[in-house]
Formats: sequence, C-alpha cells, structure tokens
Amino acid sequence: MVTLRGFPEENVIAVFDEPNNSGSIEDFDAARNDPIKNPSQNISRVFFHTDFFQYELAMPIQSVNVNHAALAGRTSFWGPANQYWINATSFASAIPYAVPGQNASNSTLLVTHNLGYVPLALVAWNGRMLMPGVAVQVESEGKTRFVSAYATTTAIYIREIYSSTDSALSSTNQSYQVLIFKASEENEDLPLMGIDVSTNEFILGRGKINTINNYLRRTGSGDTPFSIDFGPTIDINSGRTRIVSGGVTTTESGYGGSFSGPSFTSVGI
Amino acid sequence: MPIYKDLDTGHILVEDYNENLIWSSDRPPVNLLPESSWITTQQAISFPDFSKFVNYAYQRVSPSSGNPPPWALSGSGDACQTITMIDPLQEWNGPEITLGTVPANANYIDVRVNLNQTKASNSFLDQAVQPLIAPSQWVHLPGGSGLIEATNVWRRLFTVALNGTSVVLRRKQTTAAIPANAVARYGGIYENSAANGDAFLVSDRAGWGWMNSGGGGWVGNYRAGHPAALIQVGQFGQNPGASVPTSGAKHPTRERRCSTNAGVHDFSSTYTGTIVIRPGYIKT
Repeated sequence: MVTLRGFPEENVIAVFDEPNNSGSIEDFDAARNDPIKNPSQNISRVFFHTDFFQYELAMPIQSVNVNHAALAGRTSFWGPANQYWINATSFASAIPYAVPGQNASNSTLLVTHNLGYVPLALVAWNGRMLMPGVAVQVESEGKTRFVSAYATTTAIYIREIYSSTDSALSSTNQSYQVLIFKASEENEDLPLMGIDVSTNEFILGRGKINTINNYLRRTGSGDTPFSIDFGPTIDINSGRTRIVSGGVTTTESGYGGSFSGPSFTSVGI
Repeated sequence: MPIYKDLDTGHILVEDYNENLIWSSDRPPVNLLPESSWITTQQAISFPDFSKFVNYAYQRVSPSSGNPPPWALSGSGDACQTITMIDPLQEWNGPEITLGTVPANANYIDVRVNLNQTKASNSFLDQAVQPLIAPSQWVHLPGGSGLIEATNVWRRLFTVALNGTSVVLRRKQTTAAIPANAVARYGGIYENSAANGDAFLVSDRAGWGWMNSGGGGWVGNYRAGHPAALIQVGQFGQNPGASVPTSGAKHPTRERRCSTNAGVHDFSSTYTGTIVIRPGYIKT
C-alpha cells in the first residue's frame, strides 16, 4: 500500500510502498517501514525520500537557437615541392597526394545559471538527449558537425567539432532545450511537512520538495516529455556510428553493426 | 489540499495551490540515491594504435620524360614519398573494466565525466584529432555513452553501463571501409602503378607500392587503406646538374630512400579524469 510517512526524530519523510504489515507504523524499525529506513535497499518501493536527489528545475526549460558557423573547404598537398620539373604541371606526377579538409572547434554559451556549483543539466536537441557523438549536421563526403554539452559553475555550453573536405561545410541554425537542476538542501528552520510561511507554499522534507518548484518525473498528459534511456545509446562499427535514443535510430552510412538500442521511458515536467 | 491520497486509485498526489500536479506515486519523481551510493572514480580511458602499413611513392624523371625546362640539359631526378596508412575495417573491443557496484534494483545511472586528453593521437591528415567532449569540463553522458573521437576514418567510443549491480566501462574503436571513390577523389594515387608491377624497377616511371612498416622491401602495388600522415618526402637537390643523385637514389632499396617507419605516427589516445555515477530508479 502506498503511504506517506515521516519520522521527525530520524528527520526523514517518504512516500513508499509498504512491503508488508509487520510491526507498528510508528516503529521506525518495523519491517513495514524498511523502505523509509533503508531506501537504497528498497529503491523500487520508494516514490520519494528525503535522502534521495530529485531533479528540481532551477529555472524554466530554456530553448536556445545557435547559429553554427560555416567552415571553408581546404586542400593541401603532400609531395615534392613544386620546383624544377619534378612536379611541374607539364609532367603528370603521380606522387603528390591531395589532403582534403580541415577541422575546427568552438564553444557556445547556451544558458547562464550562476548557481555557484556545477549543476546536473540535460540538453536536448531535436526532441532527444544531446550526447557526445550526436551530429547535428551531416553533409556530403563526411562533412560533419558534432555537438556535446558541458556545465560549469556559471553556465551551460555546447562544444562543437566540425569538419570540411575540399568543399565547405555550410552554416546552420539549430535549437537546443536546456534543463538545469538545483541541488536542493534541507532547511532546518522548516518543518518536515507543512507550510513555508515565508512563501506560503507546501513543503516536504524541510524544503526538499516545495510545490512552487517543478521536478523531473514520470510523464503524463500535459507534460513536456523527454526520453531517458536505460542503457548505452551509441554503437560503432565499420568506422561509423549508430545512435538509438528515445526509440529513435540515427545511423551513419556505412555502419555495419546491429545495435538495437536501450529501453527508455518518458519523463517530463 | 497540497498532498492527499486519492481513495479511488490509492495514489498519493502532491499539487500546488492551483491543483497543478507536482508529482504523485503513479507519476513519481526521478530519484537518485544519496551521495553514499555514488561511484566517484579516477579513470584512464585508453585506445590503442591502429594497424598500419606504408605506401611508398617513387618517381624518376629524365629529360626524355615529361617536359623539363631548357636548362635541364642532362641528368635525371628522383623523388620519393612515404605515407602512413591505416588499415580499413578494424574493430577493437577493449576489456571491460569494473568501476563499482550499485544497490540492487537500481535501473538508471546518471553519468558525468570530467576528462582531459592525456595522450593525444598523432594528427590525422595534418589536422589535430580533437575530442568531441570539452576537455576538463563536466559532461553528461545520457545512457552512459560518449563518442569521444570521430574522424573521417575512425570512431572511438566509451560507455559506462549497468551490468546487474556492477557498473562497467567499455571501450570500442573502429575504422571505416575504403570509400568507393577514394582514388578518384584524392587523386595522385594509383591503385595499380604505371609499371604494372614493381614500379620501382622501371625507369622513367612514377608509381606507388606498399611496404611493411620499418622496411623489408617492396611488397606490392599501391595498397588500399586510409592515408593518415606523411612520413617523408625526398627529392633531388635544387640545383640540377650539381646535386642530382645518382640514378635510382630514391628507390626504396637504395641508400637515399625515404623512411618506411610508420611507427613515427602513433594514433593511440588516452583520456584521464573523473567519472561520477549516480545510481537511481525510474518507475516504468
């Protein structure tokens, strides 16, 4: 049975599924209260526990457009210097080798948070989680723009590695969604469950849950959904990549494996 | 009522004062276990060098070949070039490394890494191989996967994954097939030399052969692979008639041959830093 139970002396409160009816509900050591006493050993029975971390949004979901720069094409040559007749155009030398392309990297600010610590953050692109290896742009002959996100104590950024061949990689505009989460801490001046008189909001766990905030949770109707994968999302084979995230498969031409991807669930706000 | 039990469903709901759902026992929050259950580990993530060989180009030119300038009254010139090649279609799976354990029934891990490139690959086609993740920054790995290098030729991947109650690190690297248009696209490299055999034994010819790294002689015609880095270019002196080497001086069997040591190019790489794994549980 799902129950809400708190123990002020132990400074814990939880919503959990009782494993049995053994013992008094007021006895912290009773078998029926084991999920609140030992939540990590009963994780599948615990819906909320003050010892756990919940993904509390630090700010509303941010949607950011980024203009990614073009990268010029480039060709250089390996081979004898173009002097005398050994590499003259009048002689069809077989030695010079045309080296195609160039690479570049860049970092772009997405969102400033100024939390003072490195927060947990999720960045989504095109409806799916952005992970190292996602190419937001692919053009002919392998011209690619890879993008991944990173967090600092002040902001969330994306880093891009992009490449041209003997022809240019064009510029592109992409949109990213950013979810930044706070590390909520208990406030000993607040009750284990009740009203925060300063905000008149309902709280649980001395402020760890506050109904003024939003928390990443199992999705339902009306939510903004994001997919969370339960296992590895990338495979490589034959020099190429397959990414399966949120049930959506993206495969580079030439990939030779059979990766089917992990199970996933939708979470939302 | 901010928190209540729905007697029809048996679920507990938390709402704000406008009756907007915050979470409930049937739409529970994503829970991560407390810090005592995290795994924080220092780790080196290494990828080995690729299988390589050498393609050797030799070109012999005399006044009777091509269209030399009028001051080239006599003599002949030689040039050579050697290129480190990466073999196509290599697949490498590194041995699994156990990073720690998590409580039973944890079905989700939040993985963050902070890695620095402590051993860089040799440049590929004269371009630095840059990691796809920001060096020395905190990067989230959704699903635990991180593609860390991607060139036109190879991919390198590491994965932090749940295996029962163990958390393991896996590494893979792979090289691509030869593009169908590689010769035409890159030009200047003939799959079959003009000499229809060992081009190096024929005067007034230009051609490519391949050799094992470190020498050992000509093995065959140009061998298909991925040109990766230039080993050496050798050519006759800049004052024809005065410093033109003797005939065949750049032939791979001669003293003044180009180096065939592909070992000067090491494409292995290592990333070192911190991995933080926060186990959790998501109701499905």
